[in-house]
Amino acid sequence: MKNAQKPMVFFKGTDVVILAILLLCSVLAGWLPLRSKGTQAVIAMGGITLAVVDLEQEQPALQIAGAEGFVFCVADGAISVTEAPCEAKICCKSHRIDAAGQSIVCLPCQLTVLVTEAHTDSIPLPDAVIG
Amino acid sequence: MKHNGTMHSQAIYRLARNGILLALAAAFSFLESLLPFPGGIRIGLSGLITMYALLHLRFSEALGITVLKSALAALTRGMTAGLLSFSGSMLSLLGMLLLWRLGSSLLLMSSLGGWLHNLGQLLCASILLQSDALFWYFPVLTAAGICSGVLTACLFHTLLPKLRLAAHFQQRASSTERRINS
Ligand SMILES: [Zn+2]
Repeated sequence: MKNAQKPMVFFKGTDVVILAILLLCSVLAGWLPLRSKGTQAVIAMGGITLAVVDLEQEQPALQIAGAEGFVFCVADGAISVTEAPCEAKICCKSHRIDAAGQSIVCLPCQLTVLVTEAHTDSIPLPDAVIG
Repeated sequence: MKHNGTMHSQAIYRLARNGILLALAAAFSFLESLLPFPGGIRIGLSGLITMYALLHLRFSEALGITVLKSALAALTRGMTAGLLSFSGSMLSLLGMLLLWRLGSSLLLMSSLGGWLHNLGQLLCASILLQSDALFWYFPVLTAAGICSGVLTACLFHTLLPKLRLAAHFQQRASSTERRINS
């Protein structure tokens, strides 16, 4: 089947409206949840939670069982990845994060660091915090 | 009934042209790697090639170039990169085909194609990670996808007619055809 080369206009007035709505929706959906400051970071590998780290406690070189080769830094209520076993090291170049919903990801290692708000009514998980 | 020689020259012409397009797509992929996003997601500069293939070649050829481009990414940058590339460009290609059939403008088709390219990669990365942690990049990826799509559409619209590349190749092929036929 050969695609017919029917004339195609370059631009329609409605295009701007459609693209603006798309952009607006994605900004609202993606960034509105980020407005509150997070209090803890959930570190997971392949969807399995390895540790829940309290961001209030300063830890300059945090290492976590199950995430070998990774070194995290918790300071000023924010967390960052300082060392990683992956090749590209994109995760180490990520900025430090402190807002609920923000994350640092290492795709080759399937590691995610997700900042969340601690639920005040939930039971704390002290045995999940290692370091 | 087509002459054997015609079939032959057409096949060689297609092979050469698709090879050049694939090489160009690989070159664009390299340029993209200079703008890294978290998780190895890439903006779709090579969408220029996808769009050209979709609009000017057979769909099977556009599909072939897309699949081979992802295979190339898998070979050079690993399986994860290949999967990301495949899901992004496949969603983009199918989405652009649909938009084209619906009578969309070139600009809208290209910018939504760019957005779908990034969306496909985001979904693929989220499946690989088993996590929605990457979701907060969604606005950045949407903006980047639309920008790269608009850029692609402008390049496509202004450069292609000036270069007359397609027309030139087409002419060459058909004149060869005529020579063989006569
Ligand atoms: Zn990494």
